[in-house]
Amino acid sequence: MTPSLSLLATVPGLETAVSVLASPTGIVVVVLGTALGIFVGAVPGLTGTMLIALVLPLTYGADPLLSMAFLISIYVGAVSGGMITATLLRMPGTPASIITTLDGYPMAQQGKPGRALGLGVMASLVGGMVSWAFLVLLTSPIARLSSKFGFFEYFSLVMMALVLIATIGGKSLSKSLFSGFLGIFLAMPGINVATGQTRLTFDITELNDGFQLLPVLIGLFAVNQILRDITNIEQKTTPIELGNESVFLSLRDIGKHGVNLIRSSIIGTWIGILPGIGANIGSVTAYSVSKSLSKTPEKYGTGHEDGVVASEAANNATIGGALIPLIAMGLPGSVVEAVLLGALVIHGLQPGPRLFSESPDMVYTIMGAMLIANIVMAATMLLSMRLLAKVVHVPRPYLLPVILCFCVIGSFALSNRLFDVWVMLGFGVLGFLLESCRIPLAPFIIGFVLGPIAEENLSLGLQSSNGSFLPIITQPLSLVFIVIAIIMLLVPHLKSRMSAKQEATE
Amino acid sequence: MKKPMLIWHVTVISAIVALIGWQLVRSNSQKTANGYPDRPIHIIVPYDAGGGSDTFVRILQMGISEDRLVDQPLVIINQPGGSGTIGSREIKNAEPDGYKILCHHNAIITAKLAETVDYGPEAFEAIAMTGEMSMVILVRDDSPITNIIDLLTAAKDNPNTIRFGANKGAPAFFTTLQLQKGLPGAKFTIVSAGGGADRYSKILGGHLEAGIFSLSEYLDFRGVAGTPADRNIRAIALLSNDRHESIPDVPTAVEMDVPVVLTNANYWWAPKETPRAILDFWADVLGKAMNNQTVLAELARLRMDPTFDRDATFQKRLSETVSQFNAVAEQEQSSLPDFTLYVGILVILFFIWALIESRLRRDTCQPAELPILSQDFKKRPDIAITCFVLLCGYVLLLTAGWVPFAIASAAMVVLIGGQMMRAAPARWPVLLELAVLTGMGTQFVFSEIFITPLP
Repeated sequence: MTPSLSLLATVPGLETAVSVLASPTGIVVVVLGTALGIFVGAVPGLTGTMLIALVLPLTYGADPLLSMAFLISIYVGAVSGGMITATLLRMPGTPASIITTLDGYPMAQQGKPGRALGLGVMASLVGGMVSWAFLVLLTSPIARLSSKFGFFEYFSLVMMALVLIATIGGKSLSKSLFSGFLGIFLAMPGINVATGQTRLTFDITELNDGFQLLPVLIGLFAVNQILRDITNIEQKTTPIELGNESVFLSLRDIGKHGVNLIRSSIIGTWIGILPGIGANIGSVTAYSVSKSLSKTPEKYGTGHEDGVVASEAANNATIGGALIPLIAMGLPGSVVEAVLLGALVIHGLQPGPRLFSESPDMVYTIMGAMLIANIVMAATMLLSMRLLAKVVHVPRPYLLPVILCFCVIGSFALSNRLFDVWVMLGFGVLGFLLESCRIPLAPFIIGFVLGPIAEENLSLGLQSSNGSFLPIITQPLSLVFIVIAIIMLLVPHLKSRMSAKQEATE
Repeated sequence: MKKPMLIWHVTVISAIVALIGWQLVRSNSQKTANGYPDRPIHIIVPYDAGGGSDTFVRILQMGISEDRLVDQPLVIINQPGGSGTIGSREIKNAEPDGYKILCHHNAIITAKLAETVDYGPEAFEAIAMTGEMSMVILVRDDSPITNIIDLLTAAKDNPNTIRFGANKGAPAFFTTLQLQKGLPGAKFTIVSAGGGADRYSKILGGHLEAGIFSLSEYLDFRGVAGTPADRNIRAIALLSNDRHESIPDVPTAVEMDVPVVLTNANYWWAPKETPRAILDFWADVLGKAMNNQTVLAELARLRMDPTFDRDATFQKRLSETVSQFNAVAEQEQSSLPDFTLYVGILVILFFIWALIESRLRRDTCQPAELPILSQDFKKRPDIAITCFVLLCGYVLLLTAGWVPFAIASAAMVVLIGGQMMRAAPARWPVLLELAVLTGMGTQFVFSEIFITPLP
């Protein structure tokens, strides 16, 4: 089929999609979804995943196109909203903005909260737009490429990302490695996918499903932070206010951060495409790449603008990235995508190569909703920033207990059992202890998320190779990923050694 | 009083009054029914919202409410995890009063054989079987294997070269073992390759030679006519007793003298010792729902056969399925490296390294990695610990279920907020209002808007 013919064939779908999204209902749905998303994104303990999962039953009876537009808008809003609390409270509203706290919060403390948030919104918008372009361009061709990936290729790909454990986080390599491997270890209880048997459950039947990501995240980040806030409650912090400082940026800023914006957006999109890895890993990767390429890596973590830009551009870019395998292959790229996949199926649509030919209107509605939601997100954030930032001025005794209540509901709602709430409390204490010993949490989360994926693919690879490890280096694609992983592991150390030598000779 | 505070008080108090009104209306409307069922019934789906089981149950729920077969609302509760055992255990331990029932397929049988749990179908009262999905064996379209005999011969001539996608411990795994027995000496390399879409892409990529799929997966994944053979899939055998109308050319395994049958049927379960009358009530309701036109249309769209079985025929079918799986159950020793051990050792090693390093570097200890404005304030770990204990008490209270969610939450907000007020300025009236609003507001949002159960 020639390109022009395929374009013609899809025009009817495009028309339907445009008419749905441009209708008054369509606009209301997208604006409302985005605003709701920003709100849950901004409140620590509430996440987009949770809201989407909770809204899903509501859409059963509604129009499929509008339903998907609504869910996609929530998704875009939620990934962006997290930066507000990450910057002003050092509480990432969603896992996606964990990395934004590293530089956003110090910037706010140094009296530049408006600039930090303005940069974040701009970066989010650019990240969303870049990944949207990739979504439109890549969705169809990627379906063909994906089938080339076997278990060992996936394993090597994930190893590439796992190497990040050693390169991000605190200054101590030993503590980062300890934290990362602890994360991998704590992801192990439950059913071993490769053998179908349970392990490390100590006969606690609730542990048959292991520790779920959502309660672990809420515990490590929200509960831990609240406990820390209570401990420091007598601290007289000058409340971080958004005085009259403008959140709007000049064109020069875009030029200044241009390279970083584009690079981080592309990294975010790429990470988003990888199955099972969400926005949080996207921002970690972009941040550490940006840091290792920077001329002033020591500034990262102290309120450096580039850090905020890298994190926020990348986490929004993962949305477009993750939608590519979802639409093209029916493979969810993250937890939210899994819920979206469910939403499509409920409305009688099977994502996959056939979605393009059977319901192009849905494909274009998803793409269009993402485009509009991004613009609405940026506008809403810039205009209502002052209102949203008021959250910070609420006295802690009002704010913290209410957030705790949401944390409990959020953990419970995942699979309707209180065991997850206890998991959340346990990981809250663990996170508090780890951070008190200055052990960074980012490697923990990376290990927790990626460890099981790496193990599963390695196990299945070994099953299919009858126990031989050789394919890791004999499969060309796998070899490429392993080589890149080794380079990524060694470069920072060689770099620091070189600079140490230079200093010595000087 | 400052203007913003006045606005706050007026808004919050009117919201609270509205919520109390809603509570009164709700409690009045619930008192009308008498006899079973007199309150909402929870249907446990042991898989994620949006999955196959969930979709099926929601279709039936639609039919039941359309025909008004049950006076009380049916609340669908997803309890995914542990290959469906988290949800099935919930029902096993539930009161046998008919207010919690489970919809679960063959995995309830295989979970015991795989030693995930120590109970099987015998731990439940089986109500009925509704709807079943045919299963097929797929290969890539350019594969030289054209039927089930070819597949088994290939697995016999070159043992362990045919990589077969079926998840360990799941029904398809036991069926694969059964297939192997169809030709003595045949040996597959069985790979737990994940969900249908994963297995599909692995087959297209040449990482698996064959796999078991549901009929609807096959029809959805199959390329349009003219798709190149190396990018398409082909069914070589149907695992039913008779051919299926949607793929009339595909022979059944039974036809080829390989007597292996696997269909994915949905069974309904109640806790052991549920009264006979309640079981019959549900069998009646489900039977009627399976005749509802909307349900039939939706099931046809999912390519699910609208079969319905209850009482003796159902029990017979169930025990046949159980013995079929039992016959092939074998515990194979895993040949995989013990990853938990290696990772565990690494955790300990890195812990020791970090410990030694921090001892050595104590003098050059870095300040906290995040800049803190001022350090001249008193830390209050005592308040943090008290608050954490209160939080644990709140969760315990919810676990025990003695106190309604709204009241427990409001009390938690007041107590924890009150603790913090010992050290930070805030006002009691605002906190009290906030507490009531949080408790009742969340209850309203989650029971009226999201229709999901709270602790």
